[in-house]
Amino acid sequence: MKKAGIILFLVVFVLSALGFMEQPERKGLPKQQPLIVPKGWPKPLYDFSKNPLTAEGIELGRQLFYEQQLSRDGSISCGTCHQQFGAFNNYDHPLSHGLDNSLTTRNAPGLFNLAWQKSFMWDGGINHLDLQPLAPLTAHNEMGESIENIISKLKKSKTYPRLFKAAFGDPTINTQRLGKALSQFLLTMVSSNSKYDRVMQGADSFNLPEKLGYAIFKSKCSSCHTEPLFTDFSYRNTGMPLEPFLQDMGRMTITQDPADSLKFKVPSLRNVMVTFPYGHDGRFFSLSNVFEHYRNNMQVMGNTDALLKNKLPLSNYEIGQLKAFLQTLTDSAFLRNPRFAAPGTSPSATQPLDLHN
Amino acid sequence: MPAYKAIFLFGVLFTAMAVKAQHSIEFNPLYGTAIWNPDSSYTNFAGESLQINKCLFYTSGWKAIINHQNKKGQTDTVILSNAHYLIDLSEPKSLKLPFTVPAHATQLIFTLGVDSIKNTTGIQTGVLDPARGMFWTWRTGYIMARMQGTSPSANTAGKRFSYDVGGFESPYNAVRTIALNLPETAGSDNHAKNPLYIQTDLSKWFQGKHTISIAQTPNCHNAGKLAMQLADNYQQLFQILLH
Repeated sequence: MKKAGIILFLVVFVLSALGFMEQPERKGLPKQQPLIVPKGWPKPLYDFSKNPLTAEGIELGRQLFYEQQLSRDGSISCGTCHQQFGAFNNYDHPLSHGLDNSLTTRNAPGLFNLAWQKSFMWDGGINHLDLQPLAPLTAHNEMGESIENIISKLKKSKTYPRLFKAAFGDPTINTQRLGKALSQFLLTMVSSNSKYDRVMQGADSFNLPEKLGYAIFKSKCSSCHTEPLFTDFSYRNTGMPLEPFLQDMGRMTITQDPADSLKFKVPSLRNVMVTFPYGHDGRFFSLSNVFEHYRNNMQVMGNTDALLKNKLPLSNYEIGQLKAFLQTLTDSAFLRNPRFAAPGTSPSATQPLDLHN
Repeated sequence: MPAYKAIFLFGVLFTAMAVKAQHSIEFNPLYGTAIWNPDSSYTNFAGESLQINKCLFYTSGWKAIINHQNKKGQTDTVILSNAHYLIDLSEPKSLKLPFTVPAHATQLIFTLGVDSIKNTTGIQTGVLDPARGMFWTWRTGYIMARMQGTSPSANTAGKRFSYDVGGFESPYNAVRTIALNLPETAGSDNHAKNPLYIQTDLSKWFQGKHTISIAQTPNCHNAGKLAMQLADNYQQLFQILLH
């Protein structure tokens, strides 16, 4: 009996000691590539321990992001409606196009700094980045495919089993890995290199209109469009009347609480110059329309945000300075970063149409 | 007591329990007292004729209450399984659970639905894979239970009614705990080898705590008040019978 005890002890000791030994780097294991958090930014909310970024995972995510086969008829990829030159919004589209001449009901937002976002969609209905792509993939007026078919197409493909193996260690393809790989790519899309950022780091300086605009921004806009992410991720009613055709009640659709009627997520103002049209349904063609909404056209309702009960008075002069400041939030390095472009293509930061601002 | 002795004792105890473990568990789909058949027509409490072609639900958190009392005079609660099971009434294989109820159990407890951690931690695998179709992709959350069918009372395309019940956050949390008393004969030697049948009476979907009329509400596809009423009803679907 005593001998058995000693043996058991030795086995347990050796096994637990093994756990502390450094694993020798094995060939073929994905290369870890942790996210670099920009200076002064808060801690990311995404749980990287469940999905560590690796070079292979990010590359698989990029392939999937630009993969048209993920849609039912092979015509649409994520990148179709999230275009790099528009900071991954759907450039110049109030509403995006889905399969079979369909239209979506909301404006495709720009994609960046997603590691800091706690919920997704204009109504915040999706609570995890890994789950977010399933919405456009399956929506009948977007990519219109079933998850089951997507997984089976990926399994049958010549390239994907190899890419999944490189990213995850074995060639298993399932919904979880699809979401994780897309997240890995999306998480690397950090936009933190605008003129504003350089000014904050002391590497550049604002010109006079930008400086005046920044002061106005801080007194009139930053309670909701909070730095450094330029949103506080809250849901607010900004006096946008109900669109009679779309009947989109915003946050209330998720919570069923009348107090959330017509509340939508505060969008980030980073890259705002290239992400027109604006608003959850793209109703604002230009920034001028947005300013006009806030100072004149707002319909103040019972649950309109307390900060906007008297609308948002803005003089023409202030609007001019604010526009100068908002220009400094464009991150042209992000818009041109080849790591975010479709595989085998080089990015073009040249927008296909003129700016509307 | 040295650790190896404790381990040995646990082993003996575990083996003893495994030997005495008794009934397997099986769901038995009914409408009222009749065996449910997707081709049969039934009538609900509102007097509406209907056919049910699909019914699925998630269960988890299986526990049993054992009546041999411990030192403090309390009954023991035994965890039977921590897994989630997707019960598809059209899939005979899914009706049978892969664990048994131990001897002297007086009550069987389970959760109808998917716990909130699985609703808030990204994409799951196995029966919780969103590819199984019991998941809302447009707003995060599992469909805890689904019932679909047709009724002349449904003012919809194809006369279809469709109830996808979900929601995991207060005040519209559609997860329900179900506690079923076991018959006294359960665990006795005569019945030890018989499965426990959980009678699953689908008529209760329409008439449990609330009366649901297909004419008034043929569809449920979001968390909210209707989902909560249906959840209150499905809490009453089950009853245990020992054959």
